[in-house]
Amino acid sequence: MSELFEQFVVEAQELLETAGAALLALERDPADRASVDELFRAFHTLKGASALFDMVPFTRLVHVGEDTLSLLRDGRRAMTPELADRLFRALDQCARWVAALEGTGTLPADAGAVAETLVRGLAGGEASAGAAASAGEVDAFPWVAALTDEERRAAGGGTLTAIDYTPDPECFFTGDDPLALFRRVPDLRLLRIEPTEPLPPPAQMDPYRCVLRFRALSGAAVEAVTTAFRSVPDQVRTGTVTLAAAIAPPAAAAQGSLAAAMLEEQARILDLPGTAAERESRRAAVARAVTAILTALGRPAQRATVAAACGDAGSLRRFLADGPPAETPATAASRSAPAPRRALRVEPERMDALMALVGELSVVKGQLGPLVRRAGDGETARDMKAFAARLDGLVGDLRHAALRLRLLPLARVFDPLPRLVRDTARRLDKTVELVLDGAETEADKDILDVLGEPLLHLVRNALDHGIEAPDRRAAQGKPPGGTLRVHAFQDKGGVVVEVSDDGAGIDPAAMRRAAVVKGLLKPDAAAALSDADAVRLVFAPGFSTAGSVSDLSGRGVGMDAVRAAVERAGGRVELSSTPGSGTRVRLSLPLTLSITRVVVVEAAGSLYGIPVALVGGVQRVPRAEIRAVKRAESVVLRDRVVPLVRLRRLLGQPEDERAREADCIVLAELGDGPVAVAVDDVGERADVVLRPMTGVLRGLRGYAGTAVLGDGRLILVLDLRELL
Amino acid sequence: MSGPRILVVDDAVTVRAFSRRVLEADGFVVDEAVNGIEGLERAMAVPPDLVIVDVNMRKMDGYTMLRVLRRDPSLRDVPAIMISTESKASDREQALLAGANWYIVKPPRPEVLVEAVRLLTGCPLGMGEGVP
Repeated sequence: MSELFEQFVVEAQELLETAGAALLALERDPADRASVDELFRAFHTLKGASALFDMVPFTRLVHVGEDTLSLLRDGRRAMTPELADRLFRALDQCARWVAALEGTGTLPADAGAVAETLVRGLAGGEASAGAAASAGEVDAFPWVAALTDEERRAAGGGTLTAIDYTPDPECFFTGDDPLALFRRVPDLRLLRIEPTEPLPPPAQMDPYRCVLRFRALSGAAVEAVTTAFRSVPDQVRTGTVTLAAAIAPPAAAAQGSLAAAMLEEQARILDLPGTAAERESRRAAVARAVTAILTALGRPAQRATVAAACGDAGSLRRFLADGPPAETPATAASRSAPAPRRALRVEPERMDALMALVGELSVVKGQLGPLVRRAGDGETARDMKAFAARLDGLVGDLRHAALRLRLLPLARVFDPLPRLVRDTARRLDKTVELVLDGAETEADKDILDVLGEPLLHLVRNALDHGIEAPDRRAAQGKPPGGTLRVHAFQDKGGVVVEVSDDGAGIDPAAMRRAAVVKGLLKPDAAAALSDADAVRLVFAPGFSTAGSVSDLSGRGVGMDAVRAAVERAGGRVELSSTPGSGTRVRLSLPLTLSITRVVVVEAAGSLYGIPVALVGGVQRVPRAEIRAVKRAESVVLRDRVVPLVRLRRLLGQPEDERAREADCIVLAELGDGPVAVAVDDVGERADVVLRPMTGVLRGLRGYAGTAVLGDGRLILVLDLRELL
Repeated sequence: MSGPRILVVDDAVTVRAFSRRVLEADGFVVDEAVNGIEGLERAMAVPPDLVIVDVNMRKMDGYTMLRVLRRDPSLRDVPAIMISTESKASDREQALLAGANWYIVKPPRPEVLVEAVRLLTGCPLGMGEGVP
């Protein structure tokens, strides 16, 4: 630890310097809050750092300094020239100690006593209670409070008799033998011998003078101890002190069950008060922590399974006590359907390496196309074309096969749902039937990881806010039990999961009111929203975090988080709701994160990619149909007014000067409604391997990464959500 | 293959060096920051597997940092240990309310720190050296 110690010495010197300067400033202007804070922090940091080493007097002194400054900071004590003096003295002493530490590695022997004197000075009459002894005792035997842990352990805890014996310097001539006196003390626990003054060099030492002070602790009563010192009553003081047992190492009792304590703490966290958003994020952190702890204990559990149990402290405790929930017949059936096969375990890194290579191969293969086109119509060119076509097919098959290696059934994310629904429904006194469909649908493991938590959110929301209590349902003529359907299927090369319920739906009017109340929209802007747009407000950041959403007949807890997670993975979320009859949320995700399908667009001579998952359509719109209010443009598409943005403007490029009759529009489907993005031109769709922005590009906002097209051209893939 | 990444946020260089030494000896990768703001920046640049956060720091204290962390969609589930010289139950409660998963009183004994970190990052216990 010597390197660490050196580091402490350097840091302590710096902190003491800072503290000195701050104290000077504070003395000049006692109202200078910044200096008080600075000084407080210096003491605080010194305390924390010194506590790493065995230097109790140092730590104690800076601790009391910190306490003093905190009183000063809170206005409970006033800065006076005397107090400044004492603080300076404490700082000077610390500096001397640091110098000693640098030289010898330990504090001088008198450090404890010196610290006590300074501590009393800082406390300034209001006795500061020591950690070990009561205030009165500290005054009588200050060194007791400054005992090291080791000394404390030697002394043992409880009520002890303290002995303070400073023999007369001439005692050797009067026949007193201090050490012999201590031998007569019953139950002597601790004996400390210290010089009363700095020892002179050996050559100048007078061996017949006693310059020592004896301090001791005994387990015997005061009377029994005093008897031993009958011959020197004027030189000895005795008294009762109470010593706390050596500080028990934190959680020592729970050695080996730190994990149990931690798990219980996680359960407790779930029941802490807070806003809906706070509790939701605590749940996520707890789910992850519990999964990690169980894994560390050799009881690995699915994160999603754990997350499902993190409804409240009770459900987590039950989960931890019972182990993973039993399989429900539905999921058991879906899993046992295929005949048992032998599985091969492959490290994820190797899979990633294979996928990366396949990605590169696809890109290189793509460069063959333009080459072949340039080769013309000769016989060689025809052969090349045939060859390129075969290669094309093979690379496609290879990609498909490699992808399939990573595919897993969605049953993995469906598994925790039955338990979640049961627990949540019971907690809410609702009756809910869960229908799971398409658990055999497969997707990339990365996608399953992305899907897990949003799915739990959606299910929890549907139960919390969607499906009504049985009596309310009955009053509306609905069956008392609600139905929650989770349906997965493959669509357009991706995977889709729909969560639908037959609950209350989302009332657009209530959403408009809530948006105004929460200060997200002005009343007229809210009134102007279409019903669909009003319902989509659940995705607005800040909508669900503003609390009290559960009062609405809608949903909202963490919907912006759901959207963010899905969109980060290149997917999208759609929501449709009919007041009174239910809500459906649809998550569309790509099959894999390794390869991204983009639409290539051009703006101001450069190429950009927009993830296909976000593209709702591409079309040409005559200029005449574009309406402009000031600089804000819009266009009517599919009977909806859609805001129009120009990519050139978004990217800070010059305007397109060419007079054109129509604009190329890419309809981007973002969570909060479509946006028409005007570009110079729209090119092909391409599968690319997305590389994160690195180096100088790293700081650029609005881009998801770079990618190389089949013909070798570089494109920047846009992060539209950030750009818009 | 590198071990889990631990972000240590503390304004005391000695405390950071202590944590680094103890955790690196056990195979963890340690990242450092000197206050809450820097801590958040580091966490956003390279998401850690666990953060260990001091309470009292200039610019942004540990409570605030945890609250912001818990609001970030991509970081909100990162397990967090709050570390402080205060041992009162109310300080522990404060830390948990701010978003900590566990609370350790400074200075931690190395083996206590390592065990807590191992548990919260899912590393098997009692393996002596190195993270698998």
